[in-house]
Amino acid sequence: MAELRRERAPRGTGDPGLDGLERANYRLALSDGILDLGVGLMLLGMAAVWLLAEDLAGLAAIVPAAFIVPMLEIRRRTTEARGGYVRFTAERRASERAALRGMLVLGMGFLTVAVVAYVLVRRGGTVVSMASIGAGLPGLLIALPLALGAALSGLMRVKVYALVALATSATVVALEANPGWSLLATGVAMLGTGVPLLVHYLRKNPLPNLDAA
Amino acid sequence: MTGAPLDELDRFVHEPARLAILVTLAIVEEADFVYLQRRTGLTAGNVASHASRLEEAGYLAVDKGTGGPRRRTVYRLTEAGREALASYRRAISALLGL
Repeated sequence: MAELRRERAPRGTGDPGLDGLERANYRLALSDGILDLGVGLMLLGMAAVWLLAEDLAGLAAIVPAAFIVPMLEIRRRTTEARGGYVRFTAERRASERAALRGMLVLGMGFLTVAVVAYVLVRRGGTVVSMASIGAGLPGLLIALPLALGAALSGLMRVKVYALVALATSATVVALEANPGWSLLATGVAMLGTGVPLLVHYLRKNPLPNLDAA
Repeated sequence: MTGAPLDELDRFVHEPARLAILVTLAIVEEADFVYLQRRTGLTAGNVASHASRLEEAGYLAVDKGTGGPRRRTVYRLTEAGREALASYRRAISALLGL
């Protein structure tokens, strides 16, 4: 058995002539629909908490944690087994980490705004308009990471998801409706895209015979 | 003909299957056998034989992992492989007058 000789990890492709190819391959690696399905299901779970038990809406914050590990395992067993394993460049992974940090900072910022608005309303009821705007925050909290994800991946469908989250947040504020509807609409959009993508991927990529490997 | 020296073109790298494997690995840190097969469109036998030759030439590092129910053979480009590909690209660009 040959041992892996660890070579210096490349920082990106280090070659402008190959960067376009790297971006295309990265987008292709996200074309299996698993990410859409995972985030879509997560949003449906959060929407269910908001719509069915508004008093327990805080629990919606823990829904994502329950989805991450199962989705990674499902991806490993389904699409990675068919399309293969790839580890992108250190530069690409650094971009992903930076985007995640950005999402975290944005999330914390919005959470702070939401808490401040809530406290102000409870104390004096003088900032009712802020409270109604607060109904759009859950959708905005989803829209911003999606917009970051769209910028990072260059995927048009992720831009559309961000727009759906943004538009439904505005609608929820305008109609003074439950924020769960915004999460539900975005989740349905992602599931509606993710399912056909996954079906297409599985049909196109049967399990390989690894005898030659 | 532009007069560019054909001798500078590395015929080992010039072979289409090997070139496809090298380019695929040049844009990632590492990838497994299945990924190479999918991205290059080569048969399993072709990937195995050309990857083996590239490994013998010192252009690829190979790790035949044993973890998990499905064994995974992972490849990565060595510095020698990266340099060979860069050199090939310079030579073919000169030959084509690019």
